[in-house]
Amino acid sequence: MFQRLIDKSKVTCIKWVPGSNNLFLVSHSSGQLYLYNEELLCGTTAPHYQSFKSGDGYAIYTCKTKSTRNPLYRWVIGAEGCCINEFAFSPCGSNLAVVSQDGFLRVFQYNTMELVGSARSYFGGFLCVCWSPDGRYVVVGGEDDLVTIWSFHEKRVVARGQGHHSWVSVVAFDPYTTSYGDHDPDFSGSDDETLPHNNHNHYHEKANRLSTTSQGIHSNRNSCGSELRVSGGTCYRLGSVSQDTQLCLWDITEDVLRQPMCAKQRPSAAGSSTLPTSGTVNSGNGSTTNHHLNNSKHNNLNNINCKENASGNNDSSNNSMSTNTAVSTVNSLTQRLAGLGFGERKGDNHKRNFSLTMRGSGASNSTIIQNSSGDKATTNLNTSSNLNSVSGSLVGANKKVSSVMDDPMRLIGTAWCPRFDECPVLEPLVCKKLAHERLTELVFREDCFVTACQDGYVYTWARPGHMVGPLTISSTLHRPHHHSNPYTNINSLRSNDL
Amino acid sequence: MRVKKLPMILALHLKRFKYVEQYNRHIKVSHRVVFPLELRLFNTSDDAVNPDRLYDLVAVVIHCGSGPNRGHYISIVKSHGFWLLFDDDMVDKIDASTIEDFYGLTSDIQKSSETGYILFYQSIDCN
Repeated sequence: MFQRLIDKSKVTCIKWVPGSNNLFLVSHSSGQLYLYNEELLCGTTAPHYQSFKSGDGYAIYTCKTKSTRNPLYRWVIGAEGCCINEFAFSPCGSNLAVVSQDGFLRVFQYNTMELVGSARSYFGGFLCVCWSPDGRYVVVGGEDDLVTIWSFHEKRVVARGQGHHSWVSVVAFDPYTTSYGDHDPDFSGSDDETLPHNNHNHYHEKANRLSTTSQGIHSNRNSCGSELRVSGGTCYRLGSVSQDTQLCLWDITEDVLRQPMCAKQRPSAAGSSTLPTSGTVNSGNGSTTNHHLNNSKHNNLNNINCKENASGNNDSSNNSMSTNTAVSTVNSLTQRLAGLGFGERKGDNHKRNFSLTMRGSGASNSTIIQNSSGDKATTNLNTSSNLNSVSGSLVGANKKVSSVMDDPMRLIGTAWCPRFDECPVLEPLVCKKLAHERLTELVFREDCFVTACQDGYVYTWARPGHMVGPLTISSTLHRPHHHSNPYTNINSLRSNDL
Repeated sequence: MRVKKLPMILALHLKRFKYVEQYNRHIKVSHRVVFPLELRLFNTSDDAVNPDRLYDLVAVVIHCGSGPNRGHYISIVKSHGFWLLFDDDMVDKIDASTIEDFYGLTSDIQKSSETGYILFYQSIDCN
């Protein structure tokens, strides 16, 4: 009510500031984010603002008054009028992730108001955002029908999930089904026992099956999967709901997230894009596999990971992630690509072990560079400077990062927005139509999860271990629509007509 | 289907009519089909020259009406960063957020709808 003087546009998200009893944050479709103190008045006149802080793609203002009034701060994020679709605080409360219609995820250090990282959708707006329970990853969903996984520590897009057939409206981690590995290389095999419901096994079986018909990413994933048993590691359970009326559940193993670029030989974006079960589509693409292996400083980052991965893994001799394998793969790639007539360029990194010839696109034509030195330079700063040098050498124009951010064609193939084939593509563990209307909410609870639908229904779905018992049996009979097909592991417990 | 050569202008025609044997005629399909303001293609062939080509939505032809054999066409066009709605001799500036009004209906009830029919996406590297 009192906000009418402050912003007349639609409220898109509201949240209490973690650790505070009276501060809350409100985002609007106007692209503004306001901080309010519930104990303060808003004033009877429209606020006058003065600039407080600004950075790349955002500016923060305070009210220009003698006494403190609401709003305490006004954040303007992205271009003017660019709708903020959702925001989320990290579990520790110190970082704020904001997604907006301009297709950007922006992550701020909340207290210092510094932009610490960002990512760009493959296309279209980002609609929803959430943090992994351990704060290491931010997951966003958007109008590209994808679920995009961004590493907070590496400041890059590490994987994408493809399975929805329309815009992704909610993403949420399931903290109760996420298992945390201890990163012990000798944790062999036993991690499966720590994973609930054997879903993890299912994942591996699937990966193995696909790899038998495919030389593409799936075989790489297979190696990841088998490595997981060796090295252990966290397995995150993510859920997403979409306008396609479907729920997808994803198992995200940290090994996939740390998969290096150099191990990736996906045939093409089309290879596994159309259907979740695309192993057969990928087969037969082996000869063209290498075209799309990518370039840009993104490779650089990945190769560093590659190194990390190899060093942290005792059983890497037959693993595509090992540095040696990676080098030979890349070398043969170079030859192959050279034979195909792609222009070759040297890498211009300070330590290069080998350079790669790459298919480029548009402005950024071919290249790169590998760096598998021990240099674990995975910070944002490093990313930015590498991007500068890469784009500068490629185009001959000394553009700054800020201008890169303004131009989506310059973001493609970078840590902000990898090409589709240079980033692991995950398939959903489960994909299930839950309603006849688009789904609008997804909340995981200890014994169930809850979905909401545009038609006004809220469904509560029991977890597998919780579906026995008289309550469940009797109430499943009262479900409306056609939910009677037991949904893999999950059944509807009850539904409430709102 | 895979696209080998990505066009500068990508025109997408939504098939918003179908023959229903029960009625012995065509009916309009008003299903909700969301279309983003930006688009990349997933189904490009392995040897596509520019599979990452990014498209901007620049125009939509919209059919208004309940059936395939009657109604009215309007169009929205992006011009100099603004969206304009052309309805016969009337031209209005509209907000991009109102484009969702033309996605279609979510229920199967046959009623009048204003639905996107032909979408024009323009490659951003041809600007």
